[in-house]
Amino acid sequence: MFSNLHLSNGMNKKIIYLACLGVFILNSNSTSFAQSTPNLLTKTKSNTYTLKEIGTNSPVLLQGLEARYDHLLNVRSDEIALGVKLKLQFYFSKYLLDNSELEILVNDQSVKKIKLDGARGNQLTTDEIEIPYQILTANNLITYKFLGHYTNNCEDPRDPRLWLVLGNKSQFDITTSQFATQNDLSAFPVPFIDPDQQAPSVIPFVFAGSPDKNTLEAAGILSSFMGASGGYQQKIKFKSVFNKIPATGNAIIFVSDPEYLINLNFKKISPEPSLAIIDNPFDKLGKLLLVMGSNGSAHKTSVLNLIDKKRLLTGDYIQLNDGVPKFPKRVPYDAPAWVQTNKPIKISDISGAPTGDNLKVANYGSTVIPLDLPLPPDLYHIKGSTGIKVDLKFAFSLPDSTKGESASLGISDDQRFVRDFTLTSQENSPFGRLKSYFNNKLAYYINLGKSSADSDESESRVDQVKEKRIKFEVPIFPNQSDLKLRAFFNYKYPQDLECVASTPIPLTQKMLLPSSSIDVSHVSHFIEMPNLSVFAQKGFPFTRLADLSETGVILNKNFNEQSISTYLTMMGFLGSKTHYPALKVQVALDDQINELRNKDLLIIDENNSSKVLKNWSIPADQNSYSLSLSKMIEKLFNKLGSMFDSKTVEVEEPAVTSGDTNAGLGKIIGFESPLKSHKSVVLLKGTSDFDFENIQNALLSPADFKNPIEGTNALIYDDKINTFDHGDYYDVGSLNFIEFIYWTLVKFPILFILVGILSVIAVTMILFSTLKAKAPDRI
Amino acid sequence: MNNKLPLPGHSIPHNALFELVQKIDWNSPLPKILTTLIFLPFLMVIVSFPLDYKYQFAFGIIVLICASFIARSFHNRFVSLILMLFSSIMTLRYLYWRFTTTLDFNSPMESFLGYCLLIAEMYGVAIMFLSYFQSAWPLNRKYVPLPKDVDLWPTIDVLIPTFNEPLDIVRCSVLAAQSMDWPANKMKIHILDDGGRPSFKEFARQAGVNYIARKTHMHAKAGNLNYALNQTNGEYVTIFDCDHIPSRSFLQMTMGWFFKDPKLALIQTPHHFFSPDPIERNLDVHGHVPNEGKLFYGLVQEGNDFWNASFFCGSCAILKRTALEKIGGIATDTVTEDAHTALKLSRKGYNLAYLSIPQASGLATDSFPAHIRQRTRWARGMAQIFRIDNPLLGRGLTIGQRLCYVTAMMGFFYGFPRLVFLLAPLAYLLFGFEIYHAFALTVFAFAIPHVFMAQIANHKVQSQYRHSFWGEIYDTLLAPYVLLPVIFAIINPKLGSFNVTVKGQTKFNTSQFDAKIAMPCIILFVLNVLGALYGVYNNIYGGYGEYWTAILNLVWVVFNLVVLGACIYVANEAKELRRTPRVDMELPATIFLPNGRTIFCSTVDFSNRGMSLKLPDGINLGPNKELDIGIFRETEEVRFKGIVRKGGNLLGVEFSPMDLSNYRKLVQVTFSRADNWAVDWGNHRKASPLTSLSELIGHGPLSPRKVMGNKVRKT
Repeated sequence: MFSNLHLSNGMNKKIIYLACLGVFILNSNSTSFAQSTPNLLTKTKSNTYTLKEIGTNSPVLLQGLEARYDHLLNVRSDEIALGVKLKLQFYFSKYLLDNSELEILVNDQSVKKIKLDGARGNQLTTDEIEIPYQILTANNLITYKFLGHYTNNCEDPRDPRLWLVLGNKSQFDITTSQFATQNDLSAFPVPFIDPDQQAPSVIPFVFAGSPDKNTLEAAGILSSFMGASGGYQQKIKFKSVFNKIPATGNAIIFVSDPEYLINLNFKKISPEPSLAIIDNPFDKLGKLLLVMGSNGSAHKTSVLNLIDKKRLLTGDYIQLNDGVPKFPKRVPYDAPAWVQTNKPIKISDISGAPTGDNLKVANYGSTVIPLDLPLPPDLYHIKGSTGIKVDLKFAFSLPDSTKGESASLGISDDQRFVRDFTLTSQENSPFGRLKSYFNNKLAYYINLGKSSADSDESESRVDQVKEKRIKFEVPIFPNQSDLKLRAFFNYKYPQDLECVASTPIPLTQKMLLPSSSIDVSHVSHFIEMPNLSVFAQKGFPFTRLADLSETGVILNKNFNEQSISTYLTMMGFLGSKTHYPALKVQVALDDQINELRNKDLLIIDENNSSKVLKNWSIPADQNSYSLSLSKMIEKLFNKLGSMFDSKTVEVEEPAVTSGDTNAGLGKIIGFESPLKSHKSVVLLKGTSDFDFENIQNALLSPADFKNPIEGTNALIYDDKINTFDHGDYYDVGSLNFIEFIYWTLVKFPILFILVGILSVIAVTMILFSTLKAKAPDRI
Repeated sequence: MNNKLPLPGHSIPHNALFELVQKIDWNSPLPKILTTLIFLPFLMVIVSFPLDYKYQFAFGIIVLICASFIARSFHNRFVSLILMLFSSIMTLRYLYWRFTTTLDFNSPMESFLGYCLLIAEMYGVAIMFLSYFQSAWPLNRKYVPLPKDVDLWPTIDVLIPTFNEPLDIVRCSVLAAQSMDWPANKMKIHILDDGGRPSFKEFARQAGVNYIARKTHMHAKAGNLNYALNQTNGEYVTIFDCDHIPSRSFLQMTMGWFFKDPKLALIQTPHHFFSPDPIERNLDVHGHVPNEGKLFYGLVQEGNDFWNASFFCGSCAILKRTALEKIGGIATDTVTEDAHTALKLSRKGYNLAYLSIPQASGLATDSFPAHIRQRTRWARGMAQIFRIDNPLLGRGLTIGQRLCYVTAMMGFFYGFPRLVFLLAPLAYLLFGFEIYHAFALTVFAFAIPHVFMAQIANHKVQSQYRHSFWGEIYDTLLAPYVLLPVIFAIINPKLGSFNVTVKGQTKFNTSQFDAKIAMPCIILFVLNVLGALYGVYNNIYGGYGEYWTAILNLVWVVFNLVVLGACIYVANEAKELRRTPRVDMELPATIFLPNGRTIFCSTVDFSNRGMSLKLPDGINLGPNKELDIGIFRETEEVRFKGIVRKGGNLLGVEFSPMDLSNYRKLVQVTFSRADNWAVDWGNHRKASPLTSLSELIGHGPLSPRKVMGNKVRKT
């Protein structure tokens, strides 16, 4: 059974461990195991994940005589799977004969074959599959193999009767056991954050005593780094604790008082900035990261050293005498998680863009290949303005037009159709042959003397797979944080499929090539604020500079654990949006905000006690709904516009929540900074821990809430989010002169009409009087 | 004005801006330039303002509706200018969009074809803007009376060049010219016979006019005129083509302007045709839909006149001899000597005038091939001038003159663009070339306001001179024929020779279909039909490509087919029964029967051989009766002998042979009546662009069927 395991460094421990476990299981039961051998392992955990939670976003359709779907099931690197139970949900065609089957393979070993009997078809079928721990590793490839038959005679793989759908609500019940790992700083952020972790995690940050401003900044940098290190799906919350080591699990501890360390049986005491990783004295499987230094700025030095990847930290303790590492200065919009906006960029160069394998499908028939690309959220757009330029390269199997097959490629962005292209083998139609002849001839003469690389269209035919390149523009829409391209390869076959079992029908290949590029360099950055939607989706405006160098966080002077938890979670949240730590974030208490005057402000106010807010009038900090004139005109235009749209745009007014403004409501309010114009304030407000929990949940797990966060004010309670606009808008970013005029005219369409009419009349009057004055000279 | 009194307690608000506007002297150029500079950026914004296709479509439709409302409700020049500005804005929006988003091609062939289409479109847009400029302010020059003192009137030579036209035609013109009201000692008629025919010499002697024939025939008509200029010495020169019959008032109406404007070198009057041109005759729309000439003489020349760029059109014009001598006589470098002469006069600083009162009438080209030859010659001539004496270059012209001349010349370069438009949709329908990179509905959204706004503006300006879309027929018919001459003339202006337009010779006794002459249109028609069928089969039923793109191209093809269908029908020469063309005219007449009976009746039409007469109700006459017809010229009654050829209430009378003096009298009471041609000048029926389009369609799809019913003439 070990033969197929790779004996990598980390794996060694597991194998040894597994061997022990195996031996042990033979002799004992697992519940008593923890007590009897505390040094080896102590904890068994059970978790349940749906297929959707681990990355299969939509149900999976399997078609053809033989089809498969793969996904990964990962286990934390400090845990080992004891057993996995798969509760599979699926539907299949009622035309399937009972020699059809669904086979489940784990790491290429068959686990179960499920007979598919057409008699039970077209309804939800469930099945439970036990996956033996022996074949499980840290990263497991789960394969679903569908073998379909509809007749015992000759079969066509493209027959529409051949299908099976895997529900993405199928779930894995995973029992894992944690084992002790070495204390090694080089592994950081593992085990505090594990890229293979599927479940939401809460990471405690322990502060010895009340943290000062610099320690808070250091903690913020660290939490944002951990947020940035987590996967896209990970929801990491941070919990601040004052003076208390958690009884179980991992924690980060900021220590400035050496006395404190003595309690932890930690011997290497130094006033210099230093880092250590030790076992949790209360939980042998828990790890504590000690961030040490005599004061807050020493903490910061420690943290910055920790995340400076160029520095190789090894061992369980290190003293940092080299001072503060240098990080490159960030420029706006250069967050690694975003598409770069200064030049055309290849998909393969975008962190977070799908990679080659996800862009490739080989099956029978039509397929959608999604391509999601993260954009900066403040790309300026008005109707009809130049959109995102996409230079899409793709490859596809040529349809055989002699057999009446045809194919097309439809491009849409999430909601809207963009363009449609016919995919033909042009050589097959008489005119097509002529066309390609012309094209080749002309291309030949044009490219005479040019290198062939300059050719606009490179068409190479290898095994009937043709590469093509198309350029198009995708319009930008408001609050669009991602470009969600959908490439729909649509293959049409003649209705009466003749049986062709004698000659195997090849799969049709469809792929988008990672050398495709997109270009937003021509688009201005400009957005009307406040806009909580872009805050919730991208952490904008704070994330405009990935290191948050233009962000100030204001805490109440008498902050409590929950305020700090919220602050840390927010930093983690922003880190997860940029994939970059908040190296330059500044924290201030509400009585010393002068140095944050020119920054975008994130204010965390508990119990309405912020001194800053006392002097400010917060727009519509009540549950009212107001509508400015310009918004009304905009809505009117939307309604007018919707008359031309096939589907109507629902303009739904949020329900007015009345009553006590302070009870059980987490609030997010955006408004323009009273300290500096065109700067933003996002105020997180609550009166209880519960409120702030809600705010954190709403930002981290928007899918759990019924409505999205948007508008200028968001009220969060339970699983509901109520949003409204207070109507005081300002703008952020810059436009060129022409765009500014356009924007003004779009904001004030009546102005547009008046100016238009006035200009036409004025110019006509001048022409008229000039011509009229000239006429008498002639007669 | 505002006649409300301010309410008690209110004072009229002191408006500084308003006062400022009132203080400005709007006749000086500076405030005008400044105001234009202020508003021009706004217009530029409107032109470039991005709208997605639904909004663009809505915007376009709103502008079209407003524009047609304005066009219907107001009738003045201000409104014409506003509509032209509207049209310019929509066109510029289209162009801006066209240039910024649609020139993205997937292959070299598509780029090539796509740029061809763009060039064709640019030509159309350039002509549109130039014609707006040209017709911005039609001058409407009025008649200026001559001095009372007849001794001051200058001496005039009337030149009537002829080459191969029959005497019948020339005789009428000469006699009419003789009848012009001008002191006999100050007017000399000259027949310039380049054919050197004795019968003409004999006729000249009988009629008492001068006969000039030269030995050589260099430079065709221009050479003929220059030769005659050397033989004569009048202060002014009037030129009539030999088929142009002047009214008696011709000189009286026009000469006054030379007294008013001493710099004036040319006064041109309209060419009026009493016979239909082949297109009118074959489509049977004479007098119903205005022809090309109506637009040119009704509007274009009036517009040119404003910019001091009226054209000399070779006939029905008076030139000052001293001015002609300054430029070395009639220009001989090109085959359109007239236009070039006008250009040369302009360059010397002379003024040119156009008086829109038809004072002469002639025969239109009488067959389609002749029409084509004439237009081809014009096109080649214009291209020659464009090449050797380009009005944009060289000294002595104002900007207005330069642009007007360029408009006139470029107006003949439609061969290439027109063919491109006729073939462009086939690129997609037959070959799948995407030569226009845009979503089809967006094309509709931008192109429809652009095209239709231009139609509305043109309709407002030209409504009585040209019906929308009919120009397509004239251009499409000739496009294949003018293409090569224009290209060759631009490459080498010396190529080619002058060919005389054939008039008054061809007669069709039966309807004939000239397959050879129609061949280019037939080929284009067939190609478009193929494109339409293949497009419907492949794109609509076959699902190939993008649906709306196919629809767009099919709509385009259908429009092409309508125009081409009408064009093919033009090649079907309608039969003409009369030997000479007739002029419709109602005049009081008296019939004197041999038995002494007198019948008062009125004429219906006349030619130089006979006359139709409408008798009072209930009175019929039998055929082959001899009778006298009396027609009044002012107070004098003139009588002619005739024989009834067709009896009944509507008499067809053939004149008996008459001597020259009688014939002169006949001409005087008929062709050269002063008010003959001016009465219905510019009084054409108006038709809205949509009416016009539907009438055009009526001629289109039916035409192939009509053609099939006729014998194909072997040529």
